[in-house]
Amino acid sequence: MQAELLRFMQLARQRGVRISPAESMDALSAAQLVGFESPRLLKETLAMTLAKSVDEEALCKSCFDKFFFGDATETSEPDENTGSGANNTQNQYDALLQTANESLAQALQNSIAQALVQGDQTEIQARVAEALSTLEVEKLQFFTQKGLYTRRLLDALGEAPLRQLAAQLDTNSAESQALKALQTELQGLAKGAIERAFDLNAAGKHDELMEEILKKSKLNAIERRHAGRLKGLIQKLARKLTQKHRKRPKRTRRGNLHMIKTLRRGITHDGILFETFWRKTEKRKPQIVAVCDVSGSVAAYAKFLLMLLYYLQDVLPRTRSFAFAHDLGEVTDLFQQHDVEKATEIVNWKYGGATDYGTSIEKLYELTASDLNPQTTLIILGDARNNYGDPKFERLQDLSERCRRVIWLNPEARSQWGTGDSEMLRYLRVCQTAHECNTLSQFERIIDELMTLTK
Amino acid sequence: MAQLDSIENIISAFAEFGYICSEKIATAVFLANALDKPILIEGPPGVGKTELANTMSMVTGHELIRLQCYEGLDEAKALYEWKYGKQLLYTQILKEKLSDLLEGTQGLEGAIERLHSFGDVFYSEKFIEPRPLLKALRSEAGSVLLIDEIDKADQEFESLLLEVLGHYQTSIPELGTIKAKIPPRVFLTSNNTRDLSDALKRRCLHLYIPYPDERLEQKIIASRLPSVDPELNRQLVSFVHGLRALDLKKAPAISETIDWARSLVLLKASQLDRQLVRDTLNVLLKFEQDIEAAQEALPELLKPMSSIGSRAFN
Repeated sequence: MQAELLRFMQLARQRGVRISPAESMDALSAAQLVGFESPRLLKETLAMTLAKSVDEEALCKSCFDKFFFGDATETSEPDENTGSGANNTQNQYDALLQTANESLAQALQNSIAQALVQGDQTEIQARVAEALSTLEVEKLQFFTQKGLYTRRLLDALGEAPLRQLAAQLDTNSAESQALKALQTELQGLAKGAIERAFDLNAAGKHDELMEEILKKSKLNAIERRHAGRLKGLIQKLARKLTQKHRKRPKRTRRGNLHMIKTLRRGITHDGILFETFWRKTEKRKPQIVAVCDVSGSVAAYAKFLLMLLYYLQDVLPRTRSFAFAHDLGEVTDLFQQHDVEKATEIVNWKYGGATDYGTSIEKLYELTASDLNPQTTLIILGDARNNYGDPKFERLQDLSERCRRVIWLNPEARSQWGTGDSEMLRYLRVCQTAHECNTLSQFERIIDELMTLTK
Repeated sequence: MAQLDSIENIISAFAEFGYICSEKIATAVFLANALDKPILIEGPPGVGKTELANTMSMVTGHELIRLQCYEGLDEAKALYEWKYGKQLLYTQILKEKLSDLLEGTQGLEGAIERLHSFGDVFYSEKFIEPRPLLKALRSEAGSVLLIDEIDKADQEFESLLLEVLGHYQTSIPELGTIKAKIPPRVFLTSNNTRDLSDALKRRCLHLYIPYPDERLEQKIIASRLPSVDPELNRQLVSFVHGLRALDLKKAPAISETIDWARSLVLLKASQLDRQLVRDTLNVLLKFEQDIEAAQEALPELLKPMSSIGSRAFN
């Protein structure tokens, strides 16, 4: 039973419940205490010890049902009509039971076939479970492996001799017909079992793998059909970052000893400095101005960049967001009012077009210059391809002088910077840091660094 | 002390003190007892999170030690503090003693040597002021520790709790580790205003108490207010359940249902009618918008009851 419970926890883990070894030990001892008589009680117990939130509790319970009753519900169905079902199989396999063919009779002796012929459901289930345990089902991770594993399961069940016999027998004989039916049933059984094993085993892993791949692939190379998954992933990433950077420990705000106040209070204690007073360190209020290029040249990225900008605004509260192509405008309010999809759509429609970095930087200067201070970080998301226009390099320099740092995130590979109409190398000179940024994991790392910096 | 060695016993023991618990809650209490683990209780306000700890203390006869959390709660208020005033007073009084003590010592070094031999008298058990957590650990007869609304405390405070919750011990630098003789039964409640850290959650059993179903709530009302008419009880509980289904700012909890039932009993009502509900709605709902929303939905909510009522009149 312990092994079963551990496998259950494995499944729950894959489904997204975070279970540490210590918790699984707790759960095992708790399960021992309440016993295994009442499934309902066991379910509550496991949910209570394993889950850490209401969502996880529901997840645990659904996993429990799936794991322990996934089989039961299916077996109970044939049970209901055992009466007629048993009779049918009896008739169907009569020819096999009364066979005069010795080799056939022998083949039927040593395998699951006997159980099938007799319609013994419990025996069948037990045999399948036994055969399944000899296979390394844990390695069944991709749906493409299903065929292979079905074959292996059939072999483990001892189907091979039946197959050989079927080839030898006269195709028109009643025995052959019955044997065929038996094979079909067996195959159906094996297929079902593998399907279930895959369901329990691999579905979660498949998701994990997909996420891993998506994180590492270039944003413009991701297919449209994965957009939904990507959105979820970006959200997850933003949540993770907020969690990590949400709150700073209070202690860091304590500055030097405030000697005067401490001495003054000490007078009441006969000059003994019992109560100490500490200066508070100036709380730096980080401010971020994020500018995002939504022009045609970065069209493939623009959607994701905007999405990231959207969530960034959630993560970092003092963020002003701008979008530009031929013209620049503030989108902070837009992001606050609409959900991510609607907001990115509006921004694309409003500001999309051919890029003009010169005008946009000029406009940015007009809009933000008075608001910039030495605590501001300016982030520019764009490819710096200016269609051979005036780059207004000096304006960016002015901006750079007014704020703490300028960070440029360029979706193009570093080797392409400065080629053709790219002004990247020139802009680079006034940026404190510039990163190549075209996959999610790169972006995650950069934002993480950024948030540590802006603290 | 009542026997709490099985889930049925827990349900009946708690019922004796007027706390009707579902099997889920009883399972949590049973496991907490058996595994010596704290319970982290979540759920909407007013479903009896705090009451569970209260009842536990009554059932076991152990002292209830309550720590109400709030922003800025720290070690000095939750765990222990040195009695500074007493220390100061003693130093003043002992000043005169000092010359007696140092009599016969050779020079400064000798005097310091002598002083060292007295040990850290001022930082000993005698000068410690135990706060709720330390009190619970040092309790001789066992205790029930209620850490209320842990989500209101700062995140740093959670880290402080880890040692207490995980091993029922705490380390005081000047004294060493203090371990509980009898592990206290710990209940933490949270209203989920912020996410608690995983480290804390991992050390606890997680118990979510939802609003009870109608049958359980009727039982709770009947146990709290034996004088309530069963028919009225059924009607008012089903009315409250109707209210919870509405989109309200603050849905009425069990405690509000009990208050309302109590007021209805005081008003000597035997069944719900529209006027009565309209007049007493402010007991159930705490926001003006909610009351307005409920009044609009009143005919809908009272429909099933009025049909029964009219039949009774005929």
